[in-house]
Amino acid sequence: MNIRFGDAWFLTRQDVSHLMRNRETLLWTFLMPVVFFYFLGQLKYYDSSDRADPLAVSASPDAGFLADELTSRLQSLGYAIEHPPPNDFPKFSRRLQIPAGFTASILAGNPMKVRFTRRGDDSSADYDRVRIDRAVYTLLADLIAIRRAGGDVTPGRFRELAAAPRTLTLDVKTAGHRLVPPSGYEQSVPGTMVMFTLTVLFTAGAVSLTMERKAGILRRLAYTPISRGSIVLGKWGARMSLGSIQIVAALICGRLLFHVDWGPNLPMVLVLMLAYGSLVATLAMMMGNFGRSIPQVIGLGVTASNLLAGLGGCWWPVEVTPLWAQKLAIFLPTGWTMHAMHQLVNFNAPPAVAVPEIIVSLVLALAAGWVVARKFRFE
Amino acid sequence: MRFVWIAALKDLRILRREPFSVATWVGIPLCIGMLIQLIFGGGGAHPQGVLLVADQDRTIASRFLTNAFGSEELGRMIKVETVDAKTGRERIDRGDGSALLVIPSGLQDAFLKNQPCRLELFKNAGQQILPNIIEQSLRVMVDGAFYLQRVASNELRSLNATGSGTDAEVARNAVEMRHLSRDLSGYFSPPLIAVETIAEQEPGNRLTVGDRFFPNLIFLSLLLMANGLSTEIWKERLFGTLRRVAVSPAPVAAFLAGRVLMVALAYSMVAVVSLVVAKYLASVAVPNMLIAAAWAAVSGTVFYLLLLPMAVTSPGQRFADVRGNLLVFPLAMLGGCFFPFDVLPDWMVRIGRWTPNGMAVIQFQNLLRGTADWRHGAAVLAALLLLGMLAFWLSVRRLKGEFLR
Repeated sequence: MNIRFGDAWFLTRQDVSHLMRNRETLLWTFLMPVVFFYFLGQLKYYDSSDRADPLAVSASPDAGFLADELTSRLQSLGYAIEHPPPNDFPKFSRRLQIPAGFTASILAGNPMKVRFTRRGDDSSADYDRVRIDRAVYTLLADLIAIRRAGGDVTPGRFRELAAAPRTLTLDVKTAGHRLVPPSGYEQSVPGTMVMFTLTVLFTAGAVSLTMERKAGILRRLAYTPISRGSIVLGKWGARMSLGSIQIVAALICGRLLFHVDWGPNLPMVLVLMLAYGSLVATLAMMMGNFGRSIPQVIGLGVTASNLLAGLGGCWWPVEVTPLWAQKLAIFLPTGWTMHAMHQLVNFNAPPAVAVPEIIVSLVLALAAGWVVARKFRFE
Repeated sequence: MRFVWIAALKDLRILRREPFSVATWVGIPLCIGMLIQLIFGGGGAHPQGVLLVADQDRTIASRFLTNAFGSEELGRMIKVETVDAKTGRERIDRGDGSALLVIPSGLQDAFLKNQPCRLELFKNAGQQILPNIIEQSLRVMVDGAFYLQRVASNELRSLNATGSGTDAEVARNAVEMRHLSRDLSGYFSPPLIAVETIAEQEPGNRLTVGDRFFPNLIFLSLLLMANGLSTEIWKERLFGTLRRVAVSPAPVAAFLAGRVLMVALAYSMVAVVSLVVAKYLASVAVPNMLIAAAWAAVSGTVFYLLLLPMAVTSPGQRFADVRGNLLVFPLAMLGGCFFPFDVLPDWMVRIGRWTPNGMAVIQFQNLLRGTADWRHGAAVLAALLLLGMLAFWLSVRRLKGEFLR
């Protein structure tokens, strides 16, 4: 295919300058990503698990020292224990009710039930269940151990038991280089950046091509001495440039406004995102080329970008999805880009780790580009 | 009145010629809703991950440790995969898996002889929930081992020596074990201390992911549609329709009323389609389809009216689009149309509840959950209609004057 880079560069410059004069493009390229970074970073969904979870405890005065034992265990398991007045008690989303006569009944051998109420059934509900169960089981086990050792059951005996040496221990370490899980903006910004590159190129990038065809601009270009290959490359270059500008802006904004740590391999993160951008720009060209009408292209672009973003793990931490969804994500451009970025940013993996994803993106971009060049519609 | 019908019919015909626009406004939120339903199924969002286990002991004790993750509750979340220590370390270091458990050789022996033994757990720092669940579950097991040592250390030691013991020793051990089991049964059947866990939902039935997300997403589509429809008024100006209306005996208010009627009809169709999809494809509880659809249609029409003054005071359609997006997206975020209120921070909820879409979506959710307070609903409806009428009056004033020039 005959390509003259000078011609392609001329078209790219003209198109970029045209696209950047469009208010909608500017809005969706620069402003909306920041709004979404902020909004998604504020969601409780992305909240860090390091902070103690508030737990309201209601225990009658005669609940006894076993009730105190139970609450102190819950505190050590990451709960911020509160004893609100009865009127405020139902307002808490996590509540524990310890029945009257708790200690006396248990010591007398009468079974007792504590009631844990939790509002909502979100992803942290399972973690709550594990912690509450652990607090109750260890209290019961302590009681059995003290009873079998003989003597009275007193708070002092519980303290002695807690201080007893343990032969089987669990040594917990963090894998990789990261010490704390990403939360807030560190969770929301990378995913939103990947999503918005897709959204902008699939809408503005694709529909502008359809509009040019409808307005006869492409037909006029076909009459010029510029070759088909140069036109396609020039048009692709414009979309790639738009995507690149957005990616760089998002990386800078993420760092400066939201203090996202892009890790020590920022150049590789950039290369990864540019490879992804090149694939998305080509797919946008495809969409604009084969789309029949502007509403059709917009509809297809927005729907496809949302589906790819959702399935690729841009909206929620991938661990909350079922395994089939996690596996499917690896086969989607958004999924493999998020995966490689996760490696580079969260695990400080060496740059080489992202090479397969970059190669796949570039090869697919080339293949799709070849199809677009062969089937490019001037009218 | 006849003119209002004619104007509405004209607008409906125009809308019919652009099915992709309507499909986009409605399709995107429904698509997102279906995606959420597909991924998270009918229940809540439960994390799922892989626990890599490097078992260097390969004994009953080590298997017992990992079998805990095969229970119904934990098995739903955590899949156990056996690896060698080196591979496991490489995998967890690159974030492949939720955690790696290294069980050293000699675990069982050390446990039976009450000698020190250390399990190693490497947590994936890229995940928030599963590594903590795995850690706590393992700590329960480690605690269990400690307590077993406390209450049955003699029995465990004799169990270790059983292989080389006499028949009499074996028989004595068996009897001791039986006594221990009888003593402990007093604590466990029934359990002396039990936990009753109650997953409290809003009054009504247990909420599925669809119940939580679909009402919001339906309202997101109403907002997007309102933005798209409100800026269409510029086409009327561009094609000269408004100028022709201005010189005809028909009042501009009637022309606009026709447009509002078309919007209301379009919203009614969209509301019915969305609710049918929500009910039959995402199993969302829709106790009263008619009332829910009517509420959505009225709310959507009010959103349209509220955005209209902004569209007609803009210098052009593109400018109106940009302005509309600048208002609609933050409003949708604040007003619980992107995500339900329960995942928004408290300050956002406090503001969002007073936005027009926030007020409307809360009532809509209440209708779907069967918890609607009719007096409160009527007050919200009155407030929305009042706002809508004010916006209509402002728009007519603008259409009669500056907008035509």
